[in-house]
Amino acid sequence: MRTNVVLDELLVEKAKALTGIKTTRAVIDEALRLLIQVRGQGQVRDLRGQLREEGDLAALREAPAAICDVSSEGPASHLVIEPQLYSRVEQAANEHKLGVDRILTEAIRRYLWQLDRRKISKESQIYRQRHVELKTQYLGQYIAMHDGQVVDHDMDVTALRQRVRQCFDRKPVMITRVEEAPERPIVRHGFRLEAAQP
Amino acid sequence: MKYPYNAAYEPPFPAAPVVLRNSEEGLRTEKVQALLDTGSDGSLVPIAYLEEILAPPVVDTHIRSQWGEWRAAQLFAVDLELGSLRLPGVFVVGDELGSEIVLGRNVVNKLRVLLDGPAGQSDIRP
Repeated sequence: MRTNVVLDELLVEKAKALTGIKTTRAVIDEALRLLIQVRGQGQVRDLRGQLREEGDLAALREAPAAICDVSSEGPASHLVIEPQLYSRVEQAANEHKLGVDRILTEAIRRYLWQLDRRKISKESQIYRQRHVELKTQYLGQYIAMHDGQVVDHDMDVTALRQRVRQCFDRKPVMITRVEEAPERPIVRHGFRLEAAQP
Repeated sequence: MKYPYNAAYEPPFPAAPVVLRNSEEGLRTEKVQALLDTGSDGSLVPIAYLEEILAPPVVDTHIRSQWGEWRAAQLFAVDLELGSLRLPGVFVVGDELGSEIVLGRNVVNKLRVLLDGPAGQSDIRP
């Protein structure tokens, strides 16, 4: 379909910078997809609570997987969970007097944190492999690396972190100072006196 | 701000209570005691505290003792509160084994610290 529309240029450029999408048409397509997705979540949100009230959840536990509404506030999200795992979560919720939603949310947060840590390790490995090449260009500067590419650099690490947050939000981005050696270990001097064993 | 040395160590160790924050997530630790260690290049934080506030990982690194023993670790960014002082975006090592928070020279060198050994207290100013 061909339609002529007047766009906010600044908004389009910001969207391109944030997403890495190059063409205006692709940006609009993505925005429309997101809009439909978000509104779709609104419809799911309207169903919140109905599953449990109607007893569907209990029935689903007998099925190969269970559906659980993990959000008590904000947009609803539904997870499909193995019945045995759901049962363990419920047991833990009872034992610790916590809500199932809280346990699942906390578990997901921590898992995502572990994924972020793995991603940073991977970026660090790529950085070490590319160190000789990067040193010629960025020696003495802080660089930000995402998906193996240097996405920004600065002498001021605070300014760099702020820009990285603006562009990449909460995505894990490796930040390090490029030095002569690929890595400078952090040294702890000193020792502890301990009583001798008899 | 004056803080007593931690007398659980022999000899007593200069120490101060700190709060670690992840401002972006709105998460913080309780007030916990940190040791002031000018012999350490960087600061160490037990990984459990960093997981509690989901501190963003920054880069992989290694930590080494003066005798050359080393182990792999990861650096994380935290906002550090020491009394009324706030140090945003401090890089700390996630310590997988230890249980002490150690503020090394990357933090101590940003402060004016008077170690009053005979009085058993440290005086910390911005």
